[in-house]
Amino acid sequence: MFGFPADTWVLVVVSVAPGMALAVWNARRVRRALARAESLRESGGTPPPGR
Amino acid sequence: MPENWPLWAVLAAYLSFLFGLAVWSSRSTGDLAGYYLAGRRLPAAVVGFSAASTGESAWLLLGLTGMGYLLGANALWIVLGEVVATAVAWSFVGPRFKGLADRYRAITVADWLEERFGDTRQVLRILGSGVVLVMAGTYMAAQLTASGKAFGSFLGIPYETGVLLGAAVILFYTAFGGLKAVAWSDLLQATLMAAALVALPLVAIRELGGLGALAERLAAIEPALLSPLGAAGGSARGYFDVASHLGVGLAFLGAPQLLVRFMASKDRKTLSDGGVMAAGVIVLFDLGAVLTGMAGRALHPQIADAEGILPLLASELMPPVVTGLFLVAVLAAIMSTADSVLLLASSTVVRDFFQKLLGRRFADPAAPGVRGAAARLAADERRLSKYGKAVTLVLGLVGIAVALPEVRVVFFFVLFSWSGLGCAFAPVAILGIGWRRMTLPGAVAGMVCGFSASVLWFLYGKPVFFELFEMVVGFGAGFLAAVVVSLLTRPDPEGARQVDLARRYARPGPPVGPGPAVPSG
Repeated sequence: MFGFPADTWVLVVVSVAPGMALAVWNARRVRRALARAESLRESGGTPPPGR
Repeated sequence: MPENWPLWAVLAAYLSFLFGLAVWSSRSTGDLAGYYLAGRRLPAAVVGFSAASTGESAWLLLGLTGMGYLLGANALWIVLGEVVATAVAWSFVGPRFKGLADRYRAITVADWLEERFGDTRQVLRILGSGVVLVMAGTYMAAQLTASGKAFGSFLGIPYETGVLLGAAVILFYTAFGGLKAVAWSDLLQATLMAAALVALPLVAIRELGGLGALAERLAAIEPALLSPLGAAGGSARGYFDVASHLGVGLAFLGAPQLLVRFMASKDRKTLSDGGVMAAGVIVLFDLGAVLTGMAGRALHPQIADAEGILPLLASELMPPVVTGLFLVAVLAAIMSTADSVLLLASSTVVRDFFQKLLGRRFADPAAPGVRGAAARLAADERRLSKYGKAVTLVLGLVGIAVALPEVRVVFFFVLFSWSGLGCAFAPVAILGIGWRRMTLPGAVAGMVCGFSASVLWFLYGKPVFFELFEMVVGFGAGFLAAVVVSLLTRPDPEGARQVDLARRYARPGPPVGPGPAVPSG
């Protein structure tokens, strides 16, 4: 594509995709867990995490 | 009015902003945690951008663009190593490290190590302080050298004036504003660097006539510039080059100047959001830098110094005001690293050396003479924080003294210091948060072997063994030594409990109480 060999494009995608996917997955996991903790706290279940 | 007044105008606006930031931040530097950790209250965007720009330094804008120029697509392996290491660090290392750091009320990485491994003899603190002072000193001097060169190439002023001007600005806002000023300035600096590294390759590729024309020109100059394995192809040398490039990112897993960002972040959510921003910024930085170098090679196949390609393209393709922004971007890259390592060295002198090592020996505030005065000072955080500012200034002056006569290529020293810091601390920090069997002798062995292997390989092994980057060897040696010595020594049940605690703190869900903090004094 655009004169660059296919393995160069593969390297570009591999350079970016796994790292970004891991960071985004982790952020979403933490957000979900914190939201669950908050709803538990509001329903009188468990206290929220300290920090 | 000088001919290049737009450059001076942009520079003046940028420096004024930094001065304002120093004044604003100086209000929150009343104690050591306020001065060296910004009160542990930094938001996600600030810690994310700050970690990315601190990790990259002037090497990104001048060194990595130069590698893109010389190596072409082969330099993309550096992007892979750095992005993956950043994501792993913020997803797995940061939460556990911060959980324990909050519990220990740690201000420096040495505080963390001492508490985590129950190091009552302070061996890790002594070793760690020595490594930080030597490596951070070299790192800062190299950045000041880069500052002298950047001023010279953009504004045509003498090298010495450039060093002094850059150092004066860094010293002012770092000494008075502490980590708060450093980290907030990093946010602006990282934004400028990212903007420069997105805009310049786009303009250069447009100038060439598109990506297809870029590939055509590069193939005509040297076909290997388009190949991920580079000129060495599938030979042993080619694979060692790939390993070296991937290894550049290893320090992102645990260099002390980055671990401090984890400690200074506000909470668990800040770390996970900050990780997305840090990884995203690194992608923009690194891809932009490599592409800038490749486009520069296509436009100027023969230049004397590959590390000068970014200033050359900026002055050639951009209008004067925008060229001024590129000067600011280069200075931003220099400053964002120099300020962080300067503060790291200052915290090592004040917290590790004076308060914790000497303060423990001068334990009696009622003692007569110097011993009593030292003990009273070590116990008084407000006064220590004021002395911390003075220490920062003095260390900066030492950096100037080293940088003024040193005009050789600097990125050699930058990568050396980056490796030394990463190899001494990262293996120990990673095993310390994740491996229950890790012991204090293992940690000492990991730090000593990691650092020594990195330095010795740089001096003796690298020139004769495929130029394999010292970080790869030092990191592996530190990791291996820590594991072997831990397995050969008596298990530490308290250490295992600390790892369990780190896991609990890192778990995003409920419930995790803060737990009884370990006294910091």
